[in-house]
Amino acid sequence: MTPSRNPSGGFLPPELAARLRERFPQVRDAAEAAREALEAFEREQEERQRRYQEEVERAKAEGKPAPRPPRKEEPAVPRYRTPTFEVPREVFREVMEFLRDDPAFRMDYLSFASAIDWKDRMECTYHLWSTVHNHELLVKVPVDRDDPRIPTVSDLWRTAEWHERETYDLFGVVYEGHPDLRRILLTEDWKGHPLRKDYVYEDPDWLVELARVRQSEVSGVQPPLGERG
Amino acid sequence: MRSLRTEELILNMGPQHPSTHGVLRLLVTLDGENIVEVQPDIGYLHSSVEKMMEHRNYTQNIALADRGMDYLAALVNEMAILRAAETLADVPVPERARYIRTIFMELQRLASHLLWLGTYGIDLGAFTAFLWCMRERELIMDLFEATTGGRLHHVYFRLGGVNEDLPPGWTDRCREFCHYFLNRLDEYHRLLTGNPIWQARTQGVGVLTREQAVAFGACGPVARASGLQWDVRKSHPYEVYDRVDFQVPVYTEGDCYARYLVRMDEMRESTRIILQCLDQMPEGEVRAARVPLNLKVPPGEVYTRVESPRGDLGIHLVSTGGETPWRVKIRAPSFVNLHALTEMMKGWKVADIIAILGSIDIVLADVDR
Repeated sequence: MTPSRNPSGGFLPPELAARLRERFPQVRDAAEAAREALEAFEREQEERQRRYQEEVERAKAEGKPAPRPPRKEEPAVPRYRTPTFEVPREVFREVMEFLRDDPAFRMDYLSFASAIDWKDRMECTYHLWSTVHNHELLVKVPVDRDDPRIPTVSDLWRTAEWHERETYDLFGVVYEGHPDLRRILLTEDWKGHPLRKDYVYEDPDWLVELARVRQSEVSGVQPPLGERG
Repeated sequence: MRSLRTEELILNMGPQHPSTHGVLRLLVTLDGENIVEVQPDIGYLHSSVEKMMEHRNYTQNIALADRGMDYLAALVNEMAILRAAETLADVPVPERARYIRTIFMELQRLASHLLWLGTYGIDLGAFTAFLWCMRERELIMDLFEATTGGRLHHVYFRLGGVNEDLPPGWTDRCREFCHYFLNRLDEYHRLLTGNPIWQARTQGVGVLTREQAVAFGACGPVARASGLQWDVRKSHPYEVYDRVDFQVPVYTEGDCYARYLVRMDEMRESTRIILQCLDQMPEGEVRAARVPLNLKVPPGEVYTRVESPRGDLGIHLVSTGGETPWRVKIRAPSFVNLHALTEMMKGWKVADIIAILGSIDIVLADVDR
């Protein structure tokens, strides 16, 4: 196992990234998209700088005071320090099977399966790693936020069973074909999915009511919550 | 002869049980004395650290990672969140701080493994090991306390370095401890490794093959005992692990005894790392200047990992450029190792439950987060 060359941790040889995109043209390299956006940003900055220089020269020729230089701007382009690929839901299963079984990839280790709630959309995330080649990548799959559904990968990696249960519990993502999709961290009668951005977690009435019911069930004589001395 | 009709019995173990090392409930399906299936019921310590992190800035998140997750490896948790944030924000870290971090993380590993060895000894009926391990762990706690002010929860690492430099004379005390500890480690080996009762309880028990370990995502000493040659400190080096010489112990048996041996060897390697770091450590600053307390991490994503005493601790950090992270996914090593436990337990006897459970060294605060 060769140590990772990237100080941030993950690396994926460029020829492998090309191989993946050649096999699945629908797959998008997030870092490449970000790089294109960054290049566009830099071109725009150069253009502004060039126009500013023209203005300066024009002002000099006309004897006017020089205009103020343009404000320095930071690019709002996201950085992807781990190789990240956006995979459409339609080819998701095929891509995951390819990544696991292809001899050049051999991504036999699933670090986690989770999700990101972007308020207006939702993404399922998977981190894959190869115990043979030590390369890794993140797979992101956009899903419908109102009805998030995605095929399970627990038949490809056993470890996904629990990770998918956790994501179902905390995000409400339904993994189709999962053998035992139940809540894992919260109780079975919990309402809502706490890691969603719109989850109201301050004093939910139903939770207070549930605790009251539970208490009377357990002892039968305890005073309800809030009325104890 | 008429066959005896047997019925399966479901045994409820925990959540309050001295040997579950926290609040863990195991639903054990038994056929006579044989384990048919084990279903862990977790979540009793769930405090949604991931959600809390979305509401705190990065400096506050160091303290939260310290307290909210694996309480036996607080400094490693701090490093996990720092590695993600510093990678994404390109924060420079002075050389001396890198060495100090490495020393403290290895001391933390020693303290964690010592506590594991002591409690595992109690699980299997060897009480002396517990007293000996606590004696040595106390010395490490003193070393922590002298520098960080805390014994379990330190909040010592900062963005771009550590809080403050080592107190005078600390390096000599630390070096003295390392040499003392190497002798004590030989004593543990004499007490336990050749002990026939210890061997009978652990050898060949709870076997996890290499294929199963990879499929279940097992990590850390559990994976290394099953023949997976993998340590994050080697595969994804961070801080100064690529500048020190150490071995990654690997055993292929995959049983409880192999997991015990991996941790014993790791303690020796950790001591070696500390001694090398103490020799190499340069003088100088311990905290980068001009790193704001309220750091704004540029938008982007990164997945970084560190080697916690329990295995591969990963952080998937998603930032949108604000003072707080947008999403933090904590990939906890105990969570996946506990899942692998369901496979390890199949077919063993009731009496082995404790031996197998203890051998994977779970911390329930790490499982539930």
